[in-house]
Amino acid sequence: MNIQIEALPDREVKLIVDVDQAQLDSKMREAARQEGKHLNIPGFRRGRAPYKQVLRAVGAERLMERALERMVPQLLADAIKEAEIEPYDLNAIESDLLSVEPLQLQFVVPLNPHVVLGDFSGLSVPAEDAMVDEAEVEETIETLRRQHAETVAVAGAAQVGDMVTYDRVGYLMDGSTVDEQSDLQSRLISEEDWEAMADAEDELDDEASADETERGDEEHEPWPPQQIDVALLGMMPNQVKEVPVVYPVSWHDKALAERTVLYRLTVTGIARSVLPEVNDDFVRRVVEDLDSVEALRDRIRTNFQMRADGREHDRRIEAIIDAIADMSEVEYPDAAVRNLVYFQINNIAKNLQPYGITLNRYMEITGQTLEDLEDAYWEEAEQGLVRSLIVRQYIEDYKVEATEAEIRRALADLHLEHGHEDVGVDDPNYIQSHYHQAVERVVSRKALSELYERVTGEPSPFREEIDEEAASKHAAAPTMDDAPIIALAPYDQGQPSSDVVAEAAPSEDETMAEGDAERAT
Amino acid sequence: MNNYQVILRPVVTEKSMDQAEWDNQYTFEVALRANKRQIKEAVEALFDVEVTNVRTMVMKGKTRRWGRNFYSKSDWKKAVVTLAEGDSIVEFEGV
Repeated sequence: MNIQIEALPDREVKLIVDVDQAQLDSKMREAARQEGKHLNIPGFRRGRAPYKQVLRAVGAERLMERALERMVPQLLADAIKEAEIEPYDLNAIESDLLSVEPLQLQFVVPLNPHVVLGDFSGLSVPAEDAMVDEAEVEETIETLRRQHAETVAVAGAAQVGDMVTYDRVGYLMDGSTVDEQSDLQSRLISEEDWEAMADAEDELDDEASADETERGDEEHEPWPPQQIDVALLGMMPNQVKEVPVVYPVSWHDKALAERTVLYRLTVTGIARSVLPEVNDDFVRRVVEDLDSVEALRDRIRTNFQMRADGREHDRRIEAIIDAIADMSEVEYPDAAVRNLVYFQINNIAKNLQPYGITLNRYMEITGQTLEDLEDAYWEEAEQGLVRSLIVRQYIEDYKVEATEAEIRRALADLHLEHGHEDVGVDDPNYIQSHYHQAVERVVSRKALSELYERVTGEPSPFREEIDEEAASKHAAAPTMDDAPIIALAPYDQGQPSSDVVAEAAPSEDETMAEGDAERAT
Repeated sequence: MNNYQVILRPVVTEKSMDQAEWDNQYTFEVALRANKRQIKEAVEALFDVEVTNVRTMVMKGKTRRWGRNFYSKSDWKKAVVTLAEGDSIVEFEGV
């Protein structure tokens, strides 16, 4: 076996292997023996046909394929040993058949990432103001008011936002009844909201473009439920009104499509939400341990400030790592990024599973190909990989280690987070299967804290988390859930750590006003 | 009959391959009307070898059924040719 070694950019090596003909022949004969065991060749018992008979029966191509399947792993292992290289991931090695006679194979082997940290002793990442916007505080109070609004019956005309209770009877032009319902409830919404809803539905529609063409003429015709709601606007309790509603061609009930139905609407009640006044009573009702509006504002402001501080810390640590990456030598193969990308894509598939949607169906719905998904996640994965490599190198260079007590605590945290009710935290099997993850968690937290402290000269909030005793005293300190998102992919396994899961998983929707209000209070 | 009308095809089975390998005996399907002398001459001429012995046998055609009708396949003649020591039929090994 003769090997030519060629270094490629981006931590890859090309190995061209010339295989001896004798070696190939021997493997072909071995493959023929195996194939012959499943062949019925007239005149021979199974597995007894001579090589040339089997070759004639199955074809040289198939025998060669089988022979290569047997040879390649050993050839590759030998080539890697002879070339004295350490592959990043054996599964990511690309192999090609360059020629059959003489047999020549090519392997492109991704190598382990290579990182040399730059000198970051003079690095400075200034802090930015993490001020709480007073408008956010007021918005939270407004949300609390909406959550605790009281509903009162109204004697006047129905307005947008009111809940109208009504009976309705629908007649066709020939006098037949098509719809008769009582005690229906409808919260009246504005025309803009109806349009926004229609737009959102169009976006969700599989064949949105085709549908738009189909409904092109009806764009100005409000949807039937909207026509009824518009008619309800301004009606008084016990008032009766008749309104003609035109059903579009594409209406799902074909009996009504393209027909006009005359609806008789009878309003039986109108309820309106009345927002409570913001005063000390309101505060006492909403938050048990507070008794004044100012105290409520302070609480909301403090909580927002904590979150802002957490975000600022995350921003700073990420900026530190990115700045170190810029001044360091970081080389990695594409396969390392691709591993992270596919980890994220698999995660999407896993998240879709409970809804009975396969990844293929998801791609059909969103009109994306696998390549599109790969492109979409590539940049993010690459950034995560670089950050993880920098942290990992820091851990190695500065010999960051975990103590047994820290590992025990991390194991307990993991046990709590993953809800392993069926197995105890002291169970040897549990410890064995989660030990590596716990160590990873401890050392990466310690490394992040150290980096933060070295560069900023300020104590890291993570430090409190690491210190067992301090952690129990400071329950309100920022939790690791607010930690910067950093992918920690061990080189040797080519698998991302659980922190990548946090990155890939949908983050908490900070924009949801109700959730915000609850958290802020 | 020319040589190609005498020797029809090699018989390639596990047994015939073993005989060729171990006993230097090669098996052919030959014309039903061919006699041992013709077979010997044909093999010697076609493969450039020396034949020391020829054994022949008529193989009875097997009975087959097609629906409710039975018919019989044709009888055929098999010849086992022993070659002189040192001779071999390379073409036979290639089948």
